[in-house]
Amino acid sequence: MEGNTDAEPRKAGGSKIIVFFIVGLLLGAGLGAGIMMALGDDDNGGQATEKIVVVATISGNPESLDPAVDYETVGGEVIQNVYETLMFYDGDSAATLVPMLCTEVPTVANGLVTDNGLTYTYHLREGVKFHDGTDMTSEDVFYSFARALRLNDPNGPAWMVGELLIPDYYDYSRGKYLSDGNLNATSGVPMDVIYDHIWMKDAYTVQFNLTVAFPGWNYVITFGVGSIVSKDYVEANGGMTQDGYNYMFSHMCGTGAFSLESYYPDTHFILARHDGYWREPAKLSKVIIRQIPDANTRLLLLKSGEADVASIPRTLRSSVISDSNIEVTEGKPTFNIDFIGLNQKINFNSTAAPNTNVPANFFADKNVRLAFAHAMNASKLIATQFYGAGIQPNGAIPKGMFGYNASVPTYTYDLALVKSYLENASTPGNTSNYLAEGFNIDIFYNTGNTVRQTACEMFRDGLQAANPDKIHVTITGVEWATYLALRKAGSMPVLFLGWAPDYADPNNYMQPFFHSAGTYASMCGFGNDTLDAMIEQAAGELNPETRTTLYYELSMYLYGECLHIWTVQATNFHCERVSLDGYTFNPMYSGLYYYPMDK
Amino acid sequence: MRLSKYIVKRILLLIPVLIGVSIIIFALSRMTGEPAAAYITDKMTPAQIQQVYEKYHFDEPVVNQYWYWLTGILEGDWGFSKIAGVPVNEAILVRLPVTMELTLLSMAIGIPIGITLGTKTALRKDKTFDHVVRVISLVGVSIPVFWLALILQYVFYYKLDILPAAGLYDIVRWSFTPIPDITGFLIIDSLLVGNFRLFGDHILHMVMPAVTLSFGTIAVLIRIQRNSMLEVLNLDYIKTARAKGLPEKTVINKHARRNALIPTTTVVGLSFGGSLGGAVLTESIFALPGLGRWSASSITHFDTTSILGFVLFIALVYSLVNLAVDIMYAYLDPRVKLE
Repeated sequence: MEGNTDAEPRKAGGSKIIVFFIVGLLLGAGLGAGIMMALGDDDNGGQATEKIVVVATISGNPESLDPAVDYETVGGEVIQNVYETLMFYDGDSAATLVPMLCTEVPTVANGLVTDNGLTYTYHLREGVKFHDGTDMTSEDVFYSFARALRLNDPNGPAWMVGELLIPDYYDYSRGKYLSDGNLNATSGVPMDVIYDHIWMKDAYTVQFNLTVAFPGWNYVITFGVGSIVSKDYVEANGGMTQDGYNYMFSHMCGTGAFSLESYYPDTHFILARHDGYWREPAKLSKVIIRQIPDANTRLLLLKSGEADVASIPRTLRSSVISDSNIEVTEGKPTFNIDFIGLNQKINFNSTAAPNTNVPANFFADKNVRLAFAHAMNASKLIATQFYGAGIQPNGAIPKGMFGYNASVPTYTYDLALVKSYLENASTPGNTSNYLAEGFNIDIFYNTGNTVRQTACEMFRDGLQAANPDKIHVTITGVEWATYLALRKAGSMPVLFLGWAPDYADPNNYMQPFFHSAGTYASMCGFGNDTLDAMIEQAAGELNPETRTTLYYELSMYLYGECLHIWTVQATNFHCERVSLDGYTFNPMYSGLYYYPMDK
Repeated sequence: MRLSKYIVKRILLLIPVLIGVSIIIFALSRMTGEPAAAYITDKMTPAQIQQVYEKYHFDEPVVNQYWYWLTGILEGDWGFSKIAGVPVNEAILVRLPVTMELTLLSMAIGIPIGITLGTKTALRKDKTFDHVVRVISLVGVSIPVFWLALILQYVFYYKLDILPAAGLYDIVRWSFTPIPDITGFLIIDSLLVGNFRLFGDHILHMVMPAVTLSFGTIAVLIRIQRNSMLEVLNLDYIKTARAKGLPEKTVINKHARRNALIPTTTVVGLSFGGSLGGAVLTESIFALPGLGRWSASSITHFDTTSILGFVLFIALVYSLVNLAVDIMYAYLDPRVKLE
């Protein structure tokens, strides 16, 4: 026996105490806890009778839960379910809006869009209650928009409303707080300017006076920044002071089908059904959004039934597709697109691009751009890097959005065309062409981004095949920070970028990509008056049919110009338990919309 | 030297150590990447990017940046964690209890098992038991944490359904009841409010993570304790004790094992410090909102401010743990002077 003084040395060592300790620990932790859990079955808070949906999502905390400030998808999903906008998307359609907090979607035809598209009038729904029990009126609508513009967070979404509603919007700074915590009246967009452009015509009518006609306005205010917050609630918790601003980071009071019951950073959100909802209350009593960083853990939670929905990467597709308890929805186009910008004003320096011998305006030649476009094997990129879950876009407007036209062609992978375009591209001084003379160029990707690395390799393979002896593409992986520094300096000949929409209007793609004042046009060093005029004309056209034609013409013009190369429009991949009903995919949703769901 | 004097002296010595650490980690953070990366997105215009540089002083010399950061630290402003959405010191304080609980539980499992098996293998040197345990400890050192965690989850959660897979407690079950937050330690808080079911549920949720985290500690302790015991068992005073006719239990427990524990103590201290900062994978796989998960997220999102705060905090903890180990040394071995 252990502990016996007559025992062999190998059998001594106080084992009894240690075994007792371990057994005690494990029993205490395991069995003890199990027994206590078992004893607690009578105190389940009624969960057995409740419909609770558990969502196992990837890790990430919201930047804020304030719709005036938040500009990302984690907070966006919660905002979308707790707050409501004047209109919302009709089921799976990103093009059709239905009235929510207003009674009718303004159009020219129904007389609510007037003054050549500059005035939008919204009749508000009566009897809508906020989660704090107060009624929603035009004061709340005015307050919600005015608050976003007064705060005017440059990293937030206020610009969407501001640039259309406020004259010289970009001259206004962000809202700044004084030492006493009050908002500085001279910062942000001033109240008198806001009063000029948002009118409370009566308790249930609001009018927006735009500075420029823009038929996408309804879509703009359907984004989270158009969420209507309870004025009484915000004012009761600090209002426009610094304290109020901080409070709204983690507290919410909307009119949505769910209210925010609790939020634990890194852990979960709990949304509870709003029984005073203006429509029939949601069928789900609670939605629990859990942050589970590990994909395999999320998979096990879904397969076991502990989670009803889970974010599963496509790499684990075979594990869910074979499970009869799991339903997979996939292949529907999102509005997220990846593209490659060709820098027409490369700011080279020997350190950044030691092997390059092309001039700074190399990509100003359309033939060079087209040669690069036809050297890119987008189908292979989608097959190898996106597991086939993507579509090669035919331009800036993604499939599914207003203005998309399937007859616009895509750039095909074609070595004969690569040669042909390079042959037509003259070297400086028109002495020769780039096919005969060849060229050396450095292309960068950020280390770890295999999509961009593969795209670089495709450029290299496609271009070098045109003239293996004289065309040399050097691919260099750099750290993300270095990549950003190179991009900031304008040193990269080729830029890999991605875009997710803010609102479902083609101008949200055309303007930043191609207008000379747009982010990516300036980043790629080009500006074109003709193009600017076409973009502005299409953006402001009120007749939908004419507008469709204008966007088709614009898309065809851009196809010929080849200013950017469109590589992939991602498609969705959604996994849920078969017991869950009501899931709808809409590319404009921030995550999931829980109101129609049931289990 | 008196113990209190010794502790004060060691704490004062921490100041230059921490300043040195701060210089090294700050320099590394600026050498290895662009700190503005955490704040820049694809959608930002050049003007917005420039605003980021100006706001956080990234456009100023590194020495100035260090000075801003250091004075902030001394004034209690550790910067803002973009990942956590709160100040860095608040992010650490909120997450520390979870990591501490996990570490202490893993130590509670790892230390007795490691020391017991280490001692027993020494007493059964070159026997089958010794070989088996040594192989197991080798596997324990080599096995990737993520693999072990996944296997445990698959077996005990998915197949046997006896342990929960992730989280601090059953969120659905407790979604109808407020979760107490008094000390931040859920084990303590649940007991303070008398919620024994929550206590039990929480312990159940911590079993797999703690076992996973303890595996490496067990493997290391087995090897250290075994070697240490073998060394001690061959010393003359053990032979003398046996020759005097002392019971074997007394010889092993009182004379041999206590002395063999001295080098093991150091490893235990280091393991404790390592677990506090290194439970990255365990916390991620089991979805525990602790320091390790936060630091991993900060690294992948280039949140330099969070990384700096985390590393400085861990350096401080390591230093304090080392101090505690040194004091314990004096207790275990009277020959060691507190000098």
